[in-house]
Amino acid sequence: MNWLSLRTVGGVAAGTVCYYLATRIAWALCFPDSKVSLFFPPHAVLLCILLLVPTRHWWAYVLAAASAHFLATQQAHWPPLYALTCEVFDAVKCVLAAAGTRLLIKSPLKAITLRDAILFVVVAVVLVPFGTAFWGAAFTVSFGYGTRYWIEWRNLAISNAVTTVVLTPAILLGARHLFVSRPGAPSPRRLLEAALVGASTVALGVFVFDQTPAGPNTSPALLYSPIPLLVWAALRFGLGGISVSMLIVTSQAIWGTMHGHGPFLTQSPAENALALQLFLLVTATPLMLLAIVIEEERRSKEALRESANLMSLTAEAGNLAMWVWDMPANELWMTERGRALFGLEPGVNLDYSATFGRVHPEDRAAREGAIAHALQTRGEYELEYRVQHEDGMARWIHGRGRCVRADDGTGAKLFGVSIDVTARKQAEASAAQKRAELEHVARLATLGELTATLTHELRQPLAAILTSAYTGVRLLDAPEPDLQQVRRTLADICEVSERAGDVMSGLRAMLKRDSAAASATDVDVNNVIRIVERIAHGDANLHKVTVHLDLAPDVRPIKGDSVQLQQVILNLMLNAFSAMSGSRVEGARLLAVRTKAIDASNVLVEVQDNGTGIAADRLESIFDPFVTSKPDGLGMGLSICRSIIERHGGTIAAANNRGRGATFSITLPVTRACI
Amino acid sequence: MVLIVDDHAAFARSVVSLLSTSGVDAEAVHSGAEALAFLRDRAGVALILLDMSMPDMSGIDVLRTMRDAGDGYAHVPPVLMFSADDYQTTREELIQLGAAGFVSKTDPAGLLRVVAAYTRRAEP
Repeated sequence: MNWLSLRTVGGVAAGTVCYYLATRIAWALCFPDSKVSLFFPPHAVLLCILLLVPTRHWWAYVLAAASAHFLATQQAHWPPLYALTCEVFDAVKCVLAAAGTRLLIKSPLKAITLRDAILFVVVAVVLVPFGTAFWGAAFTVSFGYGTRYWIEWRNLAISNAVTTVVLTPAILLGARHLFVSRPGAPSPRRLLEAALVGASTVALGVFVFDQTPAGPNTSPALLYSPIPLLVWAALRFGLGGISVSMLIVTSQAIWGTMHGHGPFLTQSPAENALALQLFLLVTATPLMLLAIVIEEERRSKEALRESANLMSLTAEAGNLAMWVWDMPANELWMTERGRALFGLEPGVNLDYSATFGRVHPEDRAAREGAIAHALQTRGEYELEYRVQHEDGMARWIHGRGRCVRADDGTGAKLFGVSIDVTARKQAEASAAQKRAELEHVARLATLGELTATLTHELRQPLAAILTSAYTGVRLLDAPEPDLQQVRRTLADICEVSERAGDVMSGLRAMLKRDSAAASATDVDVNNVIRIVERIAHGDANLHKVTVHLDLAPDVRPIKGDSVQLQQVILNLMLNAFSAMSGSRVEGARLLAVRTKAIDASNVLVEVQDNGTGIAADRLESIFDPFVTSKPDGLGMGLSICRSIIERHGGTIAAANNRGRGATFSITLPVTRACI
Repeated sequence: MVLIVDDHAAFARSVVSLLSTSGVDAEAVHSGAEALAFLRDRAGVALILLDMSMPDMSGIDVLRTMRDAGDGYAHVPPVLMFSADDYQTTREELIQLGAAGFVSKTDPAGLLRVVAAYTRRAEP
């Protein structure tokens, strides 16, 4: 058993006093011929206490309430056994109602829902009062305080039910105002309205329940005259409003009934009391539920407003433009920022074509496709595209959209956010430009290493062509020209010219400045290697390196930039030549360049030499910038190679061979259409 | 017979065709090692046309090997070097190593004349 804190002891003491007073009030409201009260506030007081305090303290409050009640009964000279039975009865119904409520309702009082309220009514207003009344009526009759069992049952049940529905919300709300939250002062208008509804209720109550004498001449319809005022209170002041108003009406009605006033047909207080109880029960319950529905509505509106505020704050902070396209109506709503982003006039009604017209013609198909796919799959899309304003200004937009349909499948809407990414795109373009310039410089430097051998190499095909052409002329000069021989000679010229042309184009492309701007095309890796081999042939000879090409014929084209790939292969080949030129290297110098298809979607390129290999401590860092083993090297070559290969979606790795030398392995993804 | 040693297969083939128009028999090999093997195995080579720049051995390497081998190449035919203007090596050095002369790759008429002179001398 827990020892109670001072605060809890104080609470228990206050509860005891309240319960004692409530008991005294209840006795004042007894049915004239019964010990059963018309209205039983102690029940609501204890129920509220149990709902408000931690369950581990329940025993203290229940014990204290029973003691207070017992004290009161002994002052009123009740037989102790009957009094004790009453204590147990009161405790059991309060604990049952409180436990049921706590078990079923998890929301705090301020966030109570209609479902919660209905559960409360079912448990605390119907099941517990009417259920426990079977026992209560039994012992009341058996102790001789009542004669007719069903009358006692009815009185007990209805009395507890009415008390619960009228008093519990009022006490709970009052306690919340007192101990938990103190809302800011209401506006004068609202205060005035509250005063008006309160005063009207009191005035009407005085007229109906005090000034009207009960009897056959009265109009029972008058009983319902407070209802409009109660509805007013419920609609405008929620659960608090209806609770206070209900309390006013209840007090006045009970007072009137007990004094023979009010719109009742008989002068028997017992009959009138029943009519009053039923009136209170059937009025308070639906009005309380109505008030809760209203509050729920208000809360959800508030939540909506909060979320809208939060969203617009987020959107502003993130520079986001938002839009919603109602498809069936073809109406487009867009924030001001969105209109500015798309270059649309503020205040003009928009439809889908408004934004479509602003999208850059080259990007329209991609955007249309993405949106159509999102609509079809009820999914999302995300893409970057350009918009063009009327003044010709172009912006880059990162757009994201989500298709949402109503549950019945109709009325699809597309929700979208757009963000201006022009600055990022410009920065990317500028970085790409710088990278392209660096790569160009590196290419020029690489080709510069070759100038001595390259000019010699370029003269070889010219020499072959000249010799063949001269041969052709001599063949034709013969008295009986061997035309077959002439034909073969011309075919030789064609072949050599074509190959020389390829090498010249490759060289020209490598010397050109803007290769980064070149769009990706299908590139035959084998062809790239053949061209580079021709370009580097003279250098290979100079370094006495025999180059062996082992190119798989089934290698599929890759999507990329042939110049950049040439640069990579040339770099690797020249590095290999250097690695094989060291004085420590003996025997034949061999360089093998191989290609093969790893699988349906990747190509492997290997450049294998039998040179000095790579120092173990350099293997890790060899692709980093400024890492070089050449005394006059800058160390950018391999770093650029890696960046080019990675841009092509591939990988590059270096490893030492089991015997001598090193192998560089490149994997590249083949063109998607080929997979 | 004339032996053409050049790693550029297309050029070597074109020279073989050119010489055939003068009725000169020629064969082409594409590396220094092949040339040395050819000379070891085959007799009747009247003239060698040797390229300077080749992957495994340069023209100089071939000349030096033939000179150093002495008896191994008892009947070393005269060697004409394809013009080596692009290379640092001086003509004097090549002559010292035993080269008989030079021909340009881009002068087919001159090539024919020189070859004719040597083949007539070899086959009187």
